[in-house]
Amino acid sequence: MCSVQQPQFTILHEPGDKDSDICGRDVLTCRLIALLIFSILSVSSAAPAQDVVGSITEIEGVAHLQRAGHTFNAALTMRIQMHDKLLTMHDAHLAITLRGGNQLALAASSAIVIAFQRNDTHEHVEIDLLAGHLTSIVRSGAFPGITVRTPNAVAAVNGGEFETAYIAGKSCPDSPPCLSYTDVGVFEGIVQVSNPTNPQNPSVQVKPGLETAVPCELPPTSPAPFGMRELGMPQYH
Amino acid sequence: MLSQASCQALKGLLDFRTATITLFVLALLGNTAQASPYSDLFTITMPEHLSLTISSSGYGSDAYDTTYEGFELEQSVTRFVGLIGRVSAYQIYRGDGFNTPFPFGDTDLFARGTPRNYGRFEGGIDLLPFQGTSIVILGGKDVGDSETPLIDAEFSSWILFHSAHPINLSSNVVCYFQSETRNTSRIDLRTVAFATGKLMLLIGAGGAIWGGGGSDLQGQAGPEIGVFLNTWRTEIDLQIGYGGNPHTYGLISVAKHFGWDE
Repeated sequence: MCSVQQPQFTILHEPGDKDSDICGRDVLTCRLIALLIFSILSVSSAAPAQDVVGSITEIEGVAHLQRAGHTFNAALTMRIQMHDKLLTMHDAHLAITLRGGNQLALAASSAIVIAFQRNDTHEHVEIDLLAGHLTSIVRSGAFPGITVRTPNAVAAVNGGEFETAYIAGKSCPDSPPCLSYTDVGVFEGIVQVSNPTNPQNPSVQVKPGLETAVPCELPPTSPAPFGMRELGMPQYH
Repeated sequence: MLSQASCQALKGLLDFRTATITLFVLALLGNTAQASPYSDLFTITMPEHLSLTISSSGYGSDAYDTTYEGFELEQSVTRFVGLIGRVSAYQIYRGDGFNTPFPFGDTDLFARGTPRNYGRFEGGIDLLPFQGTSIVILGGKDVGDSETPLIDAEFSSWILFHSAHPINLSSNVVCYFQSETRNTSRIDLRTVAFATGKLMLLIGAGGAIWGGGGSDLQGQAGPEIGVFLNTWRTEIDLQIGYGGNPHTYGLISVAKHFGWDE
């Protein structure tokens, strides 16, 4: 029969040893340091609730999220934080549901940065559209206000649905010498559109079914029916 | 005859010398010290744009029935000029009417009792002098049961473009060069009745005048209604009216637009 060997331990310190006191203090120090490190990591990895502005609820194709100098692949249910930059590649689209139920739909080859403005009574969503097309669905309710800013236009609404596009490098149909312009088309609600590059420019109210263009530093054009540019003569032949 | 006068005017417009002088004058205007709206007359558009329109229409009346299918490609060149190619197929089931390309009075042609089928190939230019206005000039030829050469000119302009109810005036003249063949002119006037984010409703009136080739001048006209579906970039137009040999008629067309930046 085989004998069972007992495991052997080497006792390094006995209680009461001077070395043991040192080890005890080191252990306490180590524990304190570990607790401190853990706290720092917890703070840095889990954003405070108020900095989370929404989450990705739909994604197709390739999209990226830029945060604090790092770039991540955007994924479904990913949380969006304040000042995150979202970019969609060619043939991609992204849908985001914000705090309060407002929704954003980002088309292909587009980029936005989302921020919230807060005061004592309510929050207001501000979105910087850097390029491409963005559809905003704003539900009247807890967070009814939404502002979309492009390099040459500001579109603001309290409840409604509208589409904003910033196009650079292409001649504006309403002012051909201008090679960067903003288009705002309204599906629901009334959107106030202005050009902040020149404070003297009058703003324009765009009602449902109408769209306006903001060419370069010029004021917004008078609204015209959505899709006008596509139409010509009847196709009887 | 209105159609003959329209055809004569069209031929005048196509005079090469007239066109050259016009372009030269416009270029001079572009070179004035102050920037002219036509200073980029000869600047290639960037990015280039290609558009495709697929359309189909049907016409029914007491004495004339016909259908049409076709597609049109337009390639932008400059901000003011585009190149157009159009391929069409026509079927005439009975009678003759506003767009019949056959010589008038040749009753044998219509005693056959079977549909007449012909294709049409056209190519030309689209002039865009300012926003909302388009002048298309095409030349081409029919193949099949019709073999007439032709010139096709179209004009479309939006008035009060930046308003809730802009107005569209459009006209079309087709001149056939086969002898004894009639020519045809069409005119439409529409306005945007209302628009939502999903669709646009247009109402108006339109008609056609045709004659020549030994026939009396005939005309037809009536109200029309159209819908443009924004999401689908599709337009549907319907016209009903009365006139000419066809008497009471109905005309419907469906067209879908595509576009790509290159």
